Order: sequence, then structure tokens, then C-alpha cells
Amino acid sequence: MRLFMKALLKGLRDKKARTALVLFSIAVSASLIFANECFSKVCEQKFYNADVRWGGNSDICIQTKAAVGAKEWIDENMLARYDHQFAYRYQFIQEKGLYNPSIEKMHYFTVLGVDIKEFNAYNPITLNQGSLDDWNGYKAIIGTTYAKKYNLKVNDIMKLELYGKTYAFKITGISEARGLFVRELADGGFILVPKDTMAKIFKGGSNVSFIKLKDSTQKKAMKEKLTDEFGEYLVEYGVDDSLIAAETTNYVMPFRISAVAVVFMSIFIIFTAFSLITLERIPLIGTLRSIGCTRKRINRLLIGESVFLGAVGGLLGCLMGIGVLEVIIKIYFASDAATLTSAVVLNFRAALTAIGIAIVITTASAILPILRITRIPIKNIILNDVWKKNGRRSKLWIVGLVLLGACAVVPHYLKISFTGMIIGNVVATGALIGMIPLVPFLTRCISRLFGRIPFLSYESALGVRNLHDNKSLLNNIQLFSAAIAIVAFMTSMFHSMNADLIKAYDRDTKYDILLVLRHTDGQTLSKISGIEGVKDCFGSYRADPDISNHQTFFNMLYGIDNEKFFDYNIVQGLNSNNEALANLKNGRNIITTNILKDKLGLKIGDILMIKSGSMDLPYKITGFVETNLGIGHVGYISSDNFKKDMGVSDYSEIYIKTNGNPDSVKNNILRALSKDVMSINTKEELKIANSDKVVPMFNAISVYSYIALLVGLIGIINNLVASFLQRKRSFALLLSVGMSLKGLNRMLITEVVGMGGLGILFGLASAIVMSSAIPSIVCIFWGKVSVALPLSQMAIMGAAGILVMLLIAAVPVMKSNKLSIIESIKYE
Amino acid sequence: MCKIIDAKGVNKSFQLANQKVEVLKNVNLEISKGEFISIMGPSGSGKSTLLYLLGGLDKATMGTIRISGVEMNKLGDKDQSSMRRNNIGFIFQAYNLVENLTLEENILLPALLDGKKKKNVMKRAEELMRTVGILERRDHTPRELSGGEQQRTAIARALINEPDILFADEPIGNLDSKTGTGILKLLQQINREKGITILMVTHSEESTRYGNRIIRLKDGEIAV
Ligand SMILES: Nc1ncnc2c1ncn2[C@@H]1O[C@H](COP(=O)(O)OP(=O)(O)OP(=O)(O)O)[C@@H](O)[C@H]1O
Ligand SMILES: [Mg+2]
Repeated sequence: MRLFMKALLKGLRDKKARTALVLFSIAVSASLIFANECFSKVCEQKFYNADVRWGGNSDICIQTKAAVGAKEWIDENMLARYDHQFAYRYQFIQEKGLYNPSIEKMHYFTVLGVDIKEFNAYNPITLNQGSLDDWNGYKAIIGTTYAKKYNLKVNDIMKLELYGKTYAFKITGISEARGLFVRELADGGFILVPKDTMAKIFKGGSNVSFIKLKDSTQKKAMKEKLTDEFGEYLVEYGVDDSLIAAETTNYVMPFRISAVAVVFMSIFIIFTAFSLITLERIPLIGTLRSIGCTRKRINRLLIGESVFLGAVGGLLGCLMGIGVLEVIIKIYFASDAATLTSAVVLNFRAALTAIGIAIVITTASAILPILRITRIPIKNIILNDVWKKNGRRSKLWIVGLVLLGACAVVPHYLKISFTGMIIGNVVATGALIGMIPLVPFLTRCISRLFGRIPFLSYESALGVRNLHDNKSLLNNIQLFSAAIAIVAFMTSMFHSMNADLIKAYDRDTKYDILLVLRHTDGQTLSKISGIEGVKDCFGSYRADPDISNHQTFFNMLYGIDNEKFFDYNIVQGLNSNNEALANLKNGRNIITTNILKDKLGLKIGDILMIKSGSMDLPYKITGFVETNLGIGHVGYISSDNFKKDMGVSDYSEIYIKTNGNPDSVKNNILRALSKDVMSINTKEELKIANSDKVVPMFNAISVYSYIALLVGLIGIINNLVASFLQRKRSFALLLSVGMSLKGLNRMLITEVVGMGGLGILFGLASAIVMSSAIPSIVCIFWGKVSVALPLSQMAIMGAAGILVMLLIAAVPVMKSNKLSIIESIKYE
Repeated sequence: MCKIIDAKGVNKSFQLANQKVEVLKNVNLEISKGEFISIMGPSGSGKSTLLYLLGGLDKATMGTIRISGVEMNKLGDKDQSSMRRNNIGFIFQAYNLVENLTLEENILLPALLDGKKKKNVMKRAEELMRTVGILERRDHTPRELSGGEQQRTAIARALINEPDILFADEPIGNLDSKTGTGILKLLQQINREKGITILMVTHSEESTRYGNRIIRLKDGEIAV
């Protein structure tokens, strides 16, 4: 047996290129799995960092409510009664401050009045410049993002309007984008100033308090207790672990799905490689069997070998995975790159998972060829009669056709649901698999057709013919088709998602400007209507509460004054909701979307529990409309209910239709309302901002499909080299009967280009079929989309594919020019 | 008499890793049109090497080889391959057919490569298939044939473009004696009826009876 093992190892060493290819494709799969695992750690870390930016790793946060008439300051005496259970408690004042260097640059910052020593102790500040000393009077620390934006440096004076008056603050420090400042752009900017100064300006105490318990396991009990006692305040967890986990899953899910494509390519390559490897070992196996080695034992050894290869490949994959991780993080978090800590990279569990899966993939793809070979009776091996001569052609292509057909048809009958997504994924993968047996069949048909072209030189005609006669060329077409299909499918998916986003904006958004004001009252809308260029305007209330009886959330819950809201935000299916709209304010009624209806299995009359602070408010569903906004997680309630239940009084957003150029009207509004404007954006600006949001994710995920393509190409080149060795003799033969070298090259180029052309044809065709599954695949995390084929990108892909194939054709052409006829003929 | 093959001072050596193997030493040879030559000699004496050199499949280290007065090695890719198609036919010991082509297509190969129209050469191909006795098997692939049938196909292919010379390297080495005799008779017939010059490497004295001259090689030299 030792002998056999030696022979196996020698085989691996002799066929270095192929062993390397097998290891490489295992490693690629493993690297993506490793990267995914680590990426989820990175995300978790990132979300954690973001979540603790307020209160460090405090357990509980108490805040005053925003509603009119709510308590303005926290009663510290009441809290002090629990101090013996707190490890620490620190509080600050949080208010809005207006920075107004010019009307275009006007910006509202969140100004925190803090005791800097205390704040720094629990939520450390990392300064780029300046210092934390002498923290009194009118001093300010700002973040580096806004410092750059407004070109502010240490010792500059920054004028801030607080509580109606303007104060001059001296900048004493600029913080790195860490801690409180980690998500500055999204948060709208922070400024730290001394607490005493703020207290003097606002004539109050603190309105935010963070608490760390001595015994953190009591978190839940304490939160409940405080919620009861401090009914007038918002009591929340400092960091919500379950929220972080949910957010992370949402981020990592698309990457996990995409990795499946690469794993598929790997399995295909490993499978073909192992088929060849075991074929070559037939004589060795025959010898062993004839001297009395059991079939079981040989199986065990061969499988042992594949486990070994899987482990080595998996290990290499972990190393490669670090690189992949770097790339996707760079692309994904382009603006604020998360740093790779050794804790993330030396993630033992991720490495084990990756290696484990690598072993499973390798063994699974190796087991079929192994069993097929060892099942051959000894007699046949010795007589070299291994292949049953069955003239019948495989009918497997029918199965392929059925799989593709299923993918084209089934998704149309799928509902928006988790099961629907799974089935969508399954039929799409099925189509990819189904294409494999179809390739030989279609190649035969097409190359017969092409062989008929009259002006084709005979050498090219031979090349076309080889396409379907030569196993290795067929295998290449399959590989290339699969790679192209994966890339084109992913592109098609992103294209559909993006097109939908833009379409939704163009079609469903009927306002030209979206305005958010600091305060609104009964006069606001009529005041805006009077501004030059404003044709019409409408205000609404908006929040994104959880739906507590369904473990999901609204991306947008609107409080609407009347049905005029839908003149600004178009939804479908409004007509059947007239009655529901009229009765929206007669009790807690809600109109929601068909997407939620399908996802959660809702019907008219069902109750949605909407979470507001610590309360769950029962809303009865009275209607469904169709919209794609906010992935379809949208609800509409009456503004009266909204104001009462959500505790707000100001309009969240105001929609404006303009008469003239929105940009100039925007400036008119800015001039008229100046300090009251929190944010103002034209529709065009919103469209860009929204598509920018998804582009980094698309790009990061695309990395995976390009890796699949790379694996495919490397497999193809390896196949070409290997098959050249096998076919050398037949090339020499052709030369000996008078084919010119030029003719031989023409034949080889025809083969490779034909291979590329067919690969692109089959790949794109299956990508188009697979695209039918896109709506069901993305519905859960993206809402309803209609398939938009990226035709121009597909055309580019096709052209690039042919170009790459022409380059690859250089491999056999160069080799053939060095071919020596007699050596190839004489020595078989 | 016109010399169809004229070799002068031909040397062939192979450079191995650390030594030079001299396979042919100063071979001089003149062959006239219509001769049927048997090349004999012990294994490793350089018979195959000589045959391939004469047929222009390899280059001599020294010396000149002329076929119908032309030095093949001085020609470009185009003319050289054209000569291989039209003036020369090769038959090897292992039958060397193109696996994925039918017998008919294998036979037509040199003609079609030469740009000839299929319908123009079909008659001749059929005639050849009849002569070598494989007409009924024309649509089979080589895999489905016996060794003798394959070798006869190779002969038909070598003859399709009506060459002047036929080179055969142990054409019956893999065949039983009865089939072998059939092939030899076929070659003899071709030589006599069409006047095609034949150079055949063989191991059996028996075979030489079909030819009209024997060249004996020993240690890379022509023995007298
Ligand atoms: N490419 C090569 N490199 C090195 N040596 C070679 C090469 N080709 C042939 N030889 C050597 O040249 C000598 C003659 O070989 P050749 O094949 O011509 O012999 P042969 O007479 O045809 O023998 P056989 O009857 O066995 O076919 C042999 O010793 C062989 O080892
Ligand atoms: Mg020989």
C-alpha cells in the first residue's frame, strides 16, 4: 500500500500543471468562503463601532423625547438613586447648531456639550490635531470629514448659531474618523463643546445619559425597570447585539449567494480534472486489483487523496482569502475603509470553515470519477477494454433542456417569500448545470451547420469539426459558457436592480424638490407656496419603525394628511383603496404594500404591531397598494395617528413641484427659509445619491463573478496545454500528409475562436434564461424588480470574450510552430 | 536515367544532454524513377531516420538531399507542404489515421488540403478504396477497423494525389503474415502499374522479394 501511495504522490508531482490547477480552484473557493466569514466579522465590527460611537460600550441609553411638551432635561436625581448598580453614568447635552458661512454651505451640526475627560474615558476621542486640554469657554472639537469640507483648522473660529444666537467657537481639536466621528457624513456632523458652555446657552442640564451596569447580565431587567420608571424618556440599549447581527446578515447575504457561482466553477474543474487523473491511473489500479487489493481499499486511498488535496487547497485558500477580503473591503467601504485587524484575519473559525468546505467540495467532485473507475472489472482493465463501445449518444441534453425550461417558466409562478427566493436560486443554478450537457449537443448541431459554409478553407472546416469531436475542446466550451453565464447573470441582476431604482425614481417621484425643515407649523406650507417658482407643495410625516409582531420593519411609514400625498408619490392600485383612504383616520388603520402582503402572508383586517419607543401600537390593515420604494416595506397611516403615536409635530419632509428650473427654485427656497432648512435636494440629486449607495455593493460582489471568470480561463488554458500534448501526434500526422504549418495554425485558431464564440453564445443565452429568476432572487432584500437585460454590457462581454480567446489561441499556435513531425509520430 | 532521389554526403546526429549521437554517417544514395527499394538493417541502424530525411520530414545535419532535383529543406512552409501533398506519400508502421474522420475523409484529406474539389477527386478515391479493398467501410472511423484495413486506408491516402514517391516505414510490422503479404502485393502492383517509386523499410528478407533493390544500413552507413 505504501507503494500505491508513493505512486499517487508521484502522479501529482509529475502532472504539476494539473495538480496546481486543481489546488488553485479549490483554493479560490476556499478563499471566498474564508473572505465571506471574515467579511461578516468585519461588518459586525464596523456596525459595532458605529453603534458604540455614541455611548462607548454602555449598556443603556436614556434620552429625552423629541415631541412637543416632552420633558426637556433628564432628572438626574431620579437616576442617581440607582448609582450603586451602575459602573458609570455620564451625560451630555445634545442640540442642533447652525453653521452658516454662506447660504449654499449652510449646515446643521449636532452639537454635544460634554465633560471632555468623562467623555474621553468612556468613548475615547482620537485627535489628528490639537488637544483636549483647557476645556472651557467657547472651544470646539470637530471631525476631520467636515473640517476638510469647510477647510477648518485648529485655532480657526467657527461661528455657530445655538438657540437663536450666534457664538464664536475656537477649534481646539480635529478628530479622526473614529469613535463618535466614525460615520460623520451619514450622521450629519458632530461638534463637541464644553458642557458648561452649552448648559449656560440652553439653560438646562443633560438630555442624554449613558449607563454601564456593574453586572451587565442584568441589562434586560434594568432596561425594563427604567422604562417603567422613566416613562417620559426613551430608554434603549446602548448597543443592540441582535440588531447588529441582523444588519450583518443583510450585508453578507449577497456575497454568500455569489460565492455559490464560484464554488460551482471549482466543482466543475475539479470534476473534469479528477476524471482525467483517475483515467490515467487505470493501469495502476488494475495491477493492484490483480494482486489482491480490495476495491474498498483502493476507494479509500483515492478518496483519502482528494481529502488531502482539499485540505491543502483550503489552507492556500485562507491565505488568498486575505487578499480577496482586502479588495472587497476597499471597494465596499470605499470612503471609510475598515481596517483589517489581526483578530479578523487570524480568525480560526473562519479558516476551519473554509478548509472544511474545501474538503467537502473536493471529495464530492472526486467521488464520482473514482467510483466509476474502481467499478470496472479487473478483466477489462487488463485487457485494456475499459470503454464500453456504446454508439448511442448521451441523451443527457434533454435533462439540460428541461432544467433550462424550468428556469424560464417556474419563476413566473413564484410568490415573494423566502421559499420563493430559495426556489429562484435553485432553478437559476439548475439552468447553469443544465447548460453543461446541452453544450455538446448544441455544439454538434451548430458546427455541422458551420461546416457547410462553402468558402471555409478545409483546415478551418476541420477545426470546426474538431469542436464537437474533441472532448477537451468541448470541455473548454462548457467551462467558458459557465464562466460567461455567471458573469452575465450577475451583471444582469445588478443591472435590473439598478434600472429599477432609477425607474422607480423617474416614474414614481412626482416632485422636483424634497425639503426638510427644522420646524414646521400651520403656516409653513402656505409660506413655501409663496416662494417664486414653487407650483405646489405637500408635507408628510415619516419614520422607520419595527413591526413587532412580524420581526420586520417599515423602511418608510408615512403619516399623510390626505390622498393628495399620492400625487407626489405615485403608487399603483390606489383606485381600489378609495374607501380605505377615506377611513384612514377613523381608528388606527394602515394601508401597506403587496410586497409585505406576500412576504408576511397578510390580509385585510390583520393587525400590524408598530413599535414606537417602548410601546407596540396595533394598526388594522385596510388596504394594499403597489410600490417599490424602500424595498416595498412601506405603510401609510393618517397624520393625526402618526403625530399622536410617534410623538412628533413637525413635517418630516415636504414635497415641492416647481414651475421653472428646480435648481434655481432650490436657491429661492434656501434664500427665503435660510436657517430653517435642514436639507434640500432636487430629484436629480436624490437619484444620484441613491444609485451611488448601491454601486459599491455591486462592485464588491462583482469581484466574485470575475474570480469565477478567472478560474474558468485558467482551466481553459490548462486544458489547451494538456490537450495539445495529447494531440501532438495527430498534428504531426496532418503535417506529414501535407498540411502547411499555416494551415495547422488556421485550424487551431478556428478551434479556439469557435470555442470562444460558442461559449459566449451559450453563456449569454443561459444568462438570459437564468435572468428570469432574478425577480424571485432579489425580492426579499430589494423588492419587486422587472428583468432588465444589460444588452450593451453583454455585447462588450462578447467582444472581450472573443478577444481573450484570440490571445489564448497563441498557446497552441506557438506550441505547434515548435512541433517536430517525426518525433511526434515516432514516439507515442 | 533520371534520378528521382539524390542524397550526397548525408550526416545526421542528435545532440543529447551530454553526448552527440551520430546516427547517419556520410550516406550517398541515388534512386531512379520507378525503383522499389527495400531498406534493411538491424534495429537502431538508422533506417527510419534515413527515410524521414529523404522524405523531407526532418533536416540532415550535413549533406544535401534532392527530390526530383529540388532541395526540400530550402523551400518555405507553403511549397514544402505542397510537395508533401502532391509528390510524396508516407505510410507508417502504426497506421496514423485521423481519428475523428471517416476512412473516406482520411483518404481525401491530402486532396482537400490541396484545395481540390471533393467531387473532382471522389472518383479516384473510390477507385483507390476499391483497389485496397475497403470500399464498403468508407463511412467507418479508424477505431472501428482492423489493423490491416487501417494500413490499406493509409496506402490509399498516400496515393490520392498521385505522388511520385511512396515512403513506407515497416508498413507490415504490425500485421499478420497473410495480411502483410496482401499489402506487399498491393505495393508491388502500384509500383509496376503506376510507376511510382517506393522506398520501404523492412525487417524481413521475405518482403524484399517484392522490391527490386536492397539497401543495407549498418551503424549509420550503407553496407556494401
Ligand atoms: N530524436 C532522437 N534523439 C536522439 N537519438 C535518436 C533520435 N531519433 C533517433 N535516435 C537514435 O538514432 C538511432 C537510429 O534510429 P532509427 O529510428 O533510425 O533506427 P531504425 O533503424 O529505424 O531502428 P528500428 O528498426 O528499431 O526502427 C537510434 O539509436 C536512436 O536511438
Ligand atoms: Mg525504425
